[in-house]
Amino acid sequence: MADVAAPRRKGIYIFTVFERFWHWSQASLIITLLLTGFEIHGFWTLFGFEQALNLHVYAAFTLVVLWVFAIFWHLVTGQWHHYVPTTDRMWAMISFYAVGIFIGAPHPFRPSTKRKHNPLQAMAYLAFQVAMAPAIWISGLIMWVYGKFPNLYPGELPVLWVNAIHVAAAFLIATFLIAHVYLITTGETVTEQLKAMITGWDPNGDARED
Amino acid sequence: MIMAGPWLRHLILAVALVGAVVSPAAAQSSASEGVPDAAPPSAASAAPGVPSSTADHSQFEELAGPFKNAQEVNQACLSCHNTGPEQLHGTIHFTWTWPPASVGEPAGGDAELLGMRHVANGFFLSTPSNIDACTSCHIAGTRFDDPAMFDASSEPVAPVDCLTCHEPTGQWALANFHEGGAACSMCHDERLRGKTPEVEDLAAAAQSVGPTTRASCGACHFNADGGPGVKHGDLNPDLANPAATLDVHMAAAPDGAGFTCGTCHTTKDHAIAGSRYAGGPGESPERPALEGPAASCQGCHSANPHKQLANGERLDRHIDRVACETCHIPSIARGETATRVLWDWSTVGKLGRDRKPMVQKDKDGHIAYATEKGNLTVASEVRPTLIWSNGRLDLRHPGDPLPEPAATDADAGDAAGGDKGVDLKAIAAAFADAPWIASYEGDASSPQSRIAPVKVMYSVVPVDAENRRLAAVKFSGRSGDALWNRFNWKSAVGAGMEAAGVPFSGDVAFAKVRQMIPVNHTVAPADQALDCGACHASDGLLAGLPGGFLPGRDGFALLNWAGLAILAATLASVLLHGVLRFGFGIFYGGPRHG
Repeated sequence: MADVAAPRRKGIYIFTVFERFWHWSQASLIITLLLTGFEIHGFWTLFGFEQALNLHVYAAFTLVVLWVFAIFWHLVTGQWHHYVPTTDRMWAMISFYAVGIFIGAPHPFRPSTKRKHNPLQAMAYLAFQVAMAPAIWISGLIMWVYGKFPNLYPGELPVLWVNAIHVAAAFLIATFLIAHVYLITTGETVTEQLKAMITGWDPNGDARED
Repeated sequence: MIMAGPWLRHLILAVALVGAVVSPAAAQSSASEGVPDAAPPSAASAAPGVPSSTADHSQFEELAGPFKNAQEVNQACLSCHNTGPEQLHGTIHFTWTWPPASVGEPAGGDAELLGMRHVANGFFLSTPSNIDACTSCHIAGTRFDDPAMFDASSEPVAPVDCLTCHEPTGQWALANFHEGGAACSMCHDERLRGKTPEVEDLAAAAQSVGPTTRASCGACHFNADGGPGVKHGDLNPDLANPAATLDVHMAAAPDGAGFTCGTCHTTKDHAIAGSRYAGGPGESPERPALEGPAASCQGCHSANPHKQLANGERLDRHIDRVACETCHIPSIARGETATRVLWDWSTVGKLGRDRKPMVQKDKDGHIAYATEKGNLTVASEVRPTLIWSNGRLDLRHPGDPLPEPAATDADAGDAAGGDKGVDLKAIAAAFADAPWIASYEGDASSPQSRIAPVKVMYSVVPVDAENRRLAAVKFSGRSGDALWNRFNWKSAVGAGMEAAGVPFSGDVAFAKVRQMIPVNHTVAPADQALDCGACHASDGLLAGLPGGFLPGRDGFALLNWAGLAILAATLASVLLHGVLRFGFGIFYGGPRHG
């Protein structure tokens, strides 16, 4: 009998249930962290300082747990290879975003289960995973120790600079979020990629086995 | 620290993050409530029917009288309590000198002695030049004009008037004071009619003695430096019988804890703990009160007083940097009695139309000018100024030269605000360069320092015109050189400087000075304490007091600007890209992948 991935349906099943759960949980946690984080930083008043700080700490540790599962999943399933940077069709992507997209040129990349992300996309996600996320987590954990376990905090470490790294990473992640939300509208149709991340199915995915 | 304008922050970040404008709701979390598990107060009354003391003084024959005068009452006390005076002779209540003789001389000799007999202040300026008037408050009580009363080695040693402190209504101390030769103007800005307070029935007073009360301590301390609440915004006659909102400890049960002064200011051998000259906010915070006299919050409340609150652990971690009083005394003079914040001596001497001393009042009925005192300003509900304090006071003495006003002298964040009626900010700005004649040492880098509240007093005081030495002034007395007799500054300062033993050029000038006065009383109920946002904000109460790491305030302006610029640029790019796509899409429609 045919299972859910029956070939009757056009396209490919690209995002598994775990990936979609991971993605959307991470998205809501990051938005929560940005809203509360910039409140703690003094940019606005939304929840009140005390509540914002509570939410920020809870959301941060929830995200850490989520990432522990995600890292495990990536290692076990071998899905980490989607993020290995490549220059293959890099220029094609850049010229597509700069010119081709306006004049109806075909998209130079079709996602497949072998390679889910275009080269620019993979590079951006890799930067998030190896630079932005570790920077904000390590600096955040250090500040959590500073507040929670003052005796464990190394006195010579200037906490203002740790905070600056945290804030700088937060700005980069907010920038990433804006670009990400826009660029997912550049698929076949405006909502195609969004639907793929909700249902798991990409109707224009490349189903060839190669 | 300067950040992006709020509109810009909101626009960029809110649009960027959620794709919709997030209106910043002022959703302050409500302050958590909780009753601290304070140790039972020592003043707690015994079980019903059980006497609270083993000695009922009203039953003693020795105290039944009749007494001819106050000295005879005192002799009756001493017939049993015969070592009382000896215990008191070395204490600050008797010597008005710090450190106590038992501790030894300060390294710098007499010039470094503290205590109100020695230091200058911005109210009545100096004690030595007014010893007759000032000693009306002295606990010797009955030997008013003898400067030797401060000196326990003199012969005969001055007595100690027991009833000054132990007559529970405070009327004895008040009567003593009024007999003691103080000029009326010392406390009364306006001449009052009627009789001065007097104790008629000496025997009844003698039989009423007991532990000190709020009223007996308050007879002097509520009226420091010229009348009710003048010097202290947190010590005034409102505390004789305060509401719990004014003082949660001193209010009567069940709303308050029913403390007297002595509940916290514990005593050993008549030496009372809790002088401003001893200790500091960071000193021995975990020392229990049972280990000896110690007037500190932690003595009862421990070092982790917030533990039963939801975020109590986090609040507890503030105490290595923030004094309890900072959050728990959100404002001073918040009862009926206002506190004096400005005293301008330079305008003394304007007479009324009848060529007599006069007063002028402001629209609230407060005295704004008195011929004998100059211009005066009071304020209510004053938010204390927050400073870094290690508890050590840096004080000036009469005759000390003032520094020339510095160009920028911003060691205290004069973030005074929230005051009723009076423009304290304008006063603070006018005195921004004025030197401190009393200020707390300490800074953010010292582990002994805490952020602590003080009342800042602004004064215009006489100085020697030649060398800016702080002047001692003789205010009252029978001789013509007293200021309040002829309003002649030269002769009043001349007589004052002579009494203080300071050379004087003969010319008087006036200088603006500031003075920090500790704030430790009128602790409010927990739900009135400052909330997090009061300080954790870029424009909060600590905006003017750098140091430490204060999330919500601290950051790097350049980083904030760069971050917002990158966000704005990204947002603009994707919007432009999207608009272009939409525009071109009209001409180049069709599916991308064939």
